[in-house]
Amino acid sequence: MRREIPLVIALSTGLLMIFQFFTPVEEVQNLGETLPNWNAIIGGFAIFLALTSLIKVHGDRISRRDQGWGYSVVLLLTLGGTIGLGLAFRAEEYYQRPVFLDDPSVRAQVSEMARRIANARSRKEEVLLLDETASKLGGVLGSTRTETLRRNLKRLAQTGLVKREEGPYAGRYVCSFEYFNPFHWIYQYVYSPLQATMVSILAFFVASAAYRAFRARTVEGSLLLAAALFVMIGRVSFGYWTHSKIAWLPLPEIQQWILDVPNTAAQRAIMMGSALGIISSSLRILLGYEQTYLGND
Amino acid sequence: MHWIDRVKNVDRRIIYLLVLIAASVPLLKPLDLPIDISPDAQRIYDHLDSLSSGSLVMMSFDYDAGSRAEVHPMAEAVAEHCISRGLKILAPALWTQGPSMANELFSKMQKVHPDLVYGRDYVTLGYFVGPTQGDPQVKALMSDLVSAYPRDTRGNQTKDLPIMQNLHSSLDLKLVLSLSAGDPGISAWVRQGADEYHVTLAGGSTAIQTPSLLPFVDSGQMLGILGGLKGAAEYEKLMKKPGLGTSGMDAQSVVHLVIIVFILLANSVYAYEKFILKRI
Repeated sequence: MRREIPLVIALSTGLLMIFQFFTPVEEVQNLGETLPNWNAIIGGFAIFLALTSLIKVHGDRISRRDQGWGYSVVLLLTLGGTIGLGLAFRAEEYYQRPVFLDDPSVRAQVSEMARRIANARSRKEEVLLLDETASKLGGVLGSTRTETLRRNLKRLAQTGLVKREEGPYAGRYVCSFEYFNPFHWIYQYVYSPLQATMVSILAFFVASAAYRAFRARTVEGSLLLAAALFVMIGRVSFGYWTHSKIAWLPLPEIQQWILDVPNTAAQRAIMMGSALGIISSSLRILLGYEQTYLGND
Repeated sequence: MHWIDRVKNVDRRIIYLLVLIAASVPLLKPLDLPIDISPDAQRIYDHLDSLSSGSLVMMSFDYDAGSRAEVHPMAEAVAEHCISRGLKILAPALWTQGPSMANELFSKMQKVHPDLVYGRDYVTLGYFVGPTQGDPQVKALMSDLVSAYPRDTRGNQTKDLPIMQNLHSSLDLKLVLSLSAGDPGISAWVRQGADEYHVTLAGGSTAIQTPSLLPFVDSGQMLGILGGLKGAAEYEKLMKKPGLGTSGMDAQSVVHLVIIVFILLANSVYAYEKFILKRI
């Protein structure tokens, strides 16, 4: 049964997804749109599994003091810190967000609380007023988090940010706040630059690898090398410049021909080949010939 | 050590240094090399130029920081063209870093065009998770954009935004431009956007990905494709506004030349060894 039930599920789901593509029955078509959503939910569990595995592997490395265990410590700390910040700070606080204060009584209340907090005589009084504001107006001001609320109220009191807006919100009272989100900060200023750096150094590796490995050893290799050289030189400004000086050497045209004719033909063949491959693999899975996804050989 | 072995085993740090010099000198002192216009860039430019003011254009930000250097310049050039023509831009993203790229671009545009109004002239819709990545993402965006994005990146209800009032179906989009660095990206937009929902589709992609997408242009499923920095430089030339693409092309030209010299040198040594030394 441990084999048969998953096979039946795979077969029936696969057939249903094929059938919904051809049927005009709306209910079945809707099912075809709902089922992919389940994929996202299953994907969530897969992330949880991957996380558990990652923690176990690196936890073991640390406990055994394997070579390079320090990197595992950094990895787990970074992982925990990023997840913690991601859970603590809501995604919608990523960007500057306008808060509508259309109700005059709410507007008056916000201004009054901002004034009182700005004039607080002690830290204790300020905290009490912030708590009061959070319970009264937290939702209105876009956050119940003390730090965000305090910043918003101070900006309100100092700059009078509540104003009648022009443009898309014409006539409405809008209060714009810019949030600092540490999770977003990590994403923007740590993850993104690191990723850009990783890709940037590829140019150096490509140059070094091309020097060491790109040899015209066979006829096919020589053809590939010649095509690569024509495309590399023809696609950049230097190719066009060369053609403007040496009229009988149309490097841009040659590279365009290579891309448009042999390349397009080969790419099309690859696309058709992979489509046929996908169909054949899918049929094997649906018919139960392919069972590696169940852990069988 | 024989001179051939020296050439063959040249320290890789020397290669790195030469590539670094080749990339940085033209950036500091541009060479102003000429740029030719490809038919693809010309078609995309002409199509946008023919649209009436107020038409809706979708620019999908399907790239990240790793491909920013190649794709962002063309995004800037096309956005500049759209804004100068009075076209309205909807900016979804199929990649998680796409919204950051869109926000960066529109912040810059906002400074260049102070009259630009968020919600009226453009909207950044953020990352769309979708049921699964790729085709289902695009299908959901094309079938009902407002349901896919009930709120934009600023927390506004998208259905209330002035820019959305003229969007009744995907056919109201006069051009969809997928700025893509891989999957999900242009292929999904072709299968769902162009084939299923019949939108006019153009693409902007990294140079390495462009050859694999050319069959879609050849078959007429796409209007055209801007490939890598060259695509950006071509569009900037059409706009008569040199930018990041134009300055980057000089650097790319010189780096390509250096790599070609390396390849030719290595192959000359290989040929000398194989055909001449063996005879001695």
